[in-house]
Amino acid sequence: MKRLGDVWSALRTPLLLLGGLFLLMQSHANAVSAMFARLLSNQSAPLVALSRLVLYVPNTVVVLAYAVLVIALLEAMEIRRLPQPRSDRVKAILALGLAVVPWVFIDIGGSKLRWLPLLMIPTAIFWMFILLNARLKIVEQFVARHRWTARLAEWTFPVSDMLWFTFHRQRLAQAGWIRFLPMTVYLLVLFAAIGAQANVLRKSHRMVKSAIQVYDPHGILRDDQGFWYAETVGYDAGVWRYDATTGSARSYLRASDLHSFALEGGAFYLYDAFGSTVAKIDAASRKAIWEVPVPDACGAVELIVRPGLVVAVGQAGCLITLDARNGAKKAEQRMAFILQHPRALPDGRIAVVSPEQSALMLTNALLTQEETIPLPISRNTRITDTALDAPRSILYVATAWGGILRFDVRQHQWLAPYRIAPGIQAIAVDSHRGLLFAYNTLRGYVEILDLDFGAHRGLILTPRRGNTFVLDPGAQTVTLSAPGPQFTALPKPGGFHHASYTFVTAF
Amino acid sequence: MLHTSQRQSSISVWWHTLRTPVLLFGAALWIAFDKAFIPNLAVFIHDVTPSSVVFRFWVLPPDYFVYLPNLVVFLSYLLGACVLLELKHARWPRNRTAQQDLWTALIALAFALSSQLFMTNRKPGMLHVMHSTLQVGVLWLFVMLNANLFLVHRALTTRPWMSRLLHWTFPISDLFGYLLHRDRLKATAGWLGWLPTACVIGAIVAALGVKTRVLASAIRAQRVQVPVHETQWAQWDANGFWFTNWDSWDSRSGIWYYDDRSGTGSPYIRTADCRQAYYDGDHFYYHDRYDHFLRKVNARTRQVVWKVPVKPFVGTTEVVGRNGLVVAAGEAGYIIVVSTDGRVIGEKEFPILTWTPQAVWGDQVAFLTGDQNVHLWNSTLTKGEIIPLPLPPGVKPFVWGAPSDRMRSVTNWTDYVEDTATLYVQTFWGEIYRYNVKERRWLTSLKTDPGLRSIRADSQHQLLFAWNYYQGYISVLDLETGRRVGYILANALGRYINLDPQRMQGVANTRGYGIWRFAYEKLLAHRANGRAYSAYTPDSRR
Repeated sequence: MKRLGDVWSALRTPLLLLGGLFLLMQSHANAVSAMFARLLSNQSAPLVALSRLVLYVPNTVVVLAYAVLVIALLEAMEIRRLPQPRSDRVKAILALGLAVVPWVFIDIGGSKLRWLPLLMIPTAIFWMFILLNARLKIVEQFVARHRWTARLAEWTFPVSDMLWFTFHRQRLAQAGWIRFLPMTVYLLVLFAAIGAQANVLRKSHRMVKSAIQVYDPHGILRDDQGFWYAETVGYDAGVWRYDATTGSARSYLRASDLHSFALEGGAFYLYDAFGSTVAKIDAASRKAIWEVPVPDACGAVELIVRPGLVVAVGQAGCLITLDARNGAKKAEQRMAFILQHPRALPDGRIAVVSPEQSALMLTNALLTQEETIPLPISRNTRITDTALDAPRSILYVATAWGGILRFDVRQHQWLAPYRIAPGIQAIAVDSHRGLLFAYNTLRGYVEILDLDFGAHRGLILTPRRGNTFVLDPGAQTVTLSAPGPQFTALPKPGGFHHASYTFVTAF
Repeated sequence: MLHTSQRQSSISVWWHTLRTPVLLFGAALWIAFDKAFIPNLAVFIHDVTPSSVVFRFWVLPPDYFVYLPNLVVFLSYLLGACVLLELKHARWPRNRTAQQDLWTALIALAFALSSQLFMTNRKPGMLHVMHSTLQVGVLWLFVMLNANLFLVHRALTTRPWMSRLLHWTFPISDLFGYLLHRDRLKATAGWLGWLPTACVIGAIVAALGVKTRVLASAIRAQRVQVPVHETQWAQWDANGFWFTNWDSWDSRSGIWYYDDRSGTGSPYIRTADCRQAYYDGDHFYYHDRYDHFLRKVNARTRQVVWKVPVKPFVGTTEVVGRNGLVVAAGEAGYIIVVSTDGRVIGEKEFPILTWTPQAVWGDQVAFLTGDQNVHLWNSTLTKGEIIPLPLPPGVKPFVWGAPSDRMRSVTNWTDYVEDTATLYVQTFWGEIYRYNVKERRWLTSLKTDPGLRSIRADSQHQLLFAWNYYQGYISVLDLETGRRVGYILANALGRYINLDPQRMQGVANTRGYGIWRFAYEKLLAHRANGRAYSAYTPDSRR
């Protein structure tokens, strides 16, 4: 029986790790929210290699590499190749130093003091990890005196086997060679994770930051001479114009909380949160052609411009259709659920998704014909973006958990989804070259896929966490707009990052 | 360290017994006579205290709230801790095991943590946590030091440096560990051993009494139901009041209107970082940081009457008006004077922080500068006078950032009373300087409690409202004598006060917690019963 118990104790860690990985891969709406992971590990770490060379490495790489280093140190102490600190107090101080050091290489990037708990929690975990495994006299005495400690470790084995690996190995002392199995698997998983991340670094292309000063830019619209973008917050929020010939940006239209806008037929269509209005503004004269109030309760509003019509989609469930010529209200509908990511379909209809209903809603612009299509995912799965491949009539729906659903609008059926790493925040399509771009905010890169087969075609590393991600198929350029920390004294800390994807098409 | 088994000389006993009362009274005397101590302490508190102390006490029925300063809760908790400690001391004079210590520590921690139910620090994120941790930590430490812990007594016996540490730090250790101190004196000092305890408890009770007196005589401000966070200016018309929502991260920042008839507020004119505007009954005059123009806008139609370009990037720009003059002060050192018809009368840059402009008697402009001076210039800004503030000697502004910023810790605000041509300058330590612009001389100062953030005068009713940022209330004083008329409580970090003397109502503008409204008609009836404060001239104190 004892032998059986030892085998179980030895095998449960590998089983748990592999089982956990399997669950993560299979579950469409995993209990571990992608949002949580994003909070903990959402930023790249600027690792200064040389004085002028800054290499951006995801935080995950730093944390994992550090964990391996710490384990190596502890193992070296275990086999007494390193001099042992003489007292528990010295060990604790050294361990605290070790736990604090990784933050030199990690950039959480939160605003003000919000990042403090994000730093303190992992530091505390690191510290506890080192202290538990550092053979402290006080810990060993405590364990010897209090038998419930061993029982507690037994009951909490999914955590204790890994965090307190020396104790676990001690308990398996009678198990023979098999006692090394948990540690081996543990290290292998760490190495595999580091290897996967290092592979990303090795294969990826880099983005270049442009010299435009912004706070929190969104909604980029490119043309031949430059691009328009929306500055969301700050004193000079509104539509801005970047002129590529002069290399400078200037404020063009004033609007509050502007996340998206359209430029059609020489006029801007935008939602302005100051008066909660949808407006059509002449692009040349900057005079308002019409302004229509929408209810405050509609929440953030996105606009879809169709020939002769403007459809305002409020996140809180509003659908309002306006006449593009005079702003007259043509139709209005209120839903009892959230509507997100509207897209204009080639057949003239509008597609919006409802994560609460787990449904894709298709409606005509006058809101008279409505169709609800269930999404092939669990309810409340976080849907992060949609994109349309107009020539193929395929609508792509991205989930935070790495799924890219494909809906064939013409055939009216779901196609086999593509699956990539969790953490997708935005997607975009270059139909002409048959490429699908998925911005993975969790891992800090843009993954390029083949549009027809979902095959991996390349990676572009993103140095900061971005919010809007656009393509310029003409110039074969990817642009990511990244906000800076808000409420900061820094002058406009956000930025635009560009990368060319000619390397994919050349290949 | 005095051990009970030791024989102590009578001098030593007297010294150990009396040093706490002597210290307390000595400190009080020193504070009373050192002119720079209170201002320096106030300046220090202003810069290191991240929050005003306002607390929420929840009583049944559930939707009835009483708002009290945090300090009252804290002092009450200290008093409660003293009572509990005395009870424990009577029943269990000393813990006998480390296990008992653990339970004592847990109970004490729960007691200290429970105080947070009744306190709110009104600060975002980790600042709140740090402030709360400090409050809980001090309470916990106080209880733990006086709980006669087994480990403490063992450490005192086995580690001589602990005893020496207590001796060396007696100004703090005698007060914080008052029971420990009393136990040490028990065997040798007789009834005198109770003296330090009586002094500590007496001081707490006295402070509590002073604070509760504020509550007893205060009227309450009510929050106005408008969805804004940071406001500064307000001015009334027949049906409501205009105010600025200046938080530039808010998509609805600008000039708002609160309509008394409907009880709703809504945005009216879009502006960026407009904190102080001027409304003459028909038009608004304001600075918009979006395009760096000073504008005159028709209040009814919202049409721009004129706009004057001002120097860009001069920071937050406040606008005031009086007698046909509109004065704008950019924080980074810029003043512009414009007539109400849009003609630029004067414009000048200063190499130092400038703020709080006032259009004063004789078509002059007064404002504060970062080097602790009041500037008084003619309207064309060609001829000016620099008037140093009559600060007590030895006042040292607490410098955190740029040198030009240091003035902020001394004074934040001024107000001008036209009838008497007097400029009122608030200081954080509760002194309100008065400068007669006509006679070019400082008048006797008014004095109230330390912690002031801003002031506002109602010359019609001879009242001066002083917002005590630190203590969480507005002191209402007689404008001439400084005699206290009453208090107004608002449960928020106070910043600015605006008044409507016609209707005898006012609003308290806060940062982060919207607008609070109060009526002060009742206070006028209390005027005769207020406490008189001695008025004195700055010169007489030198």
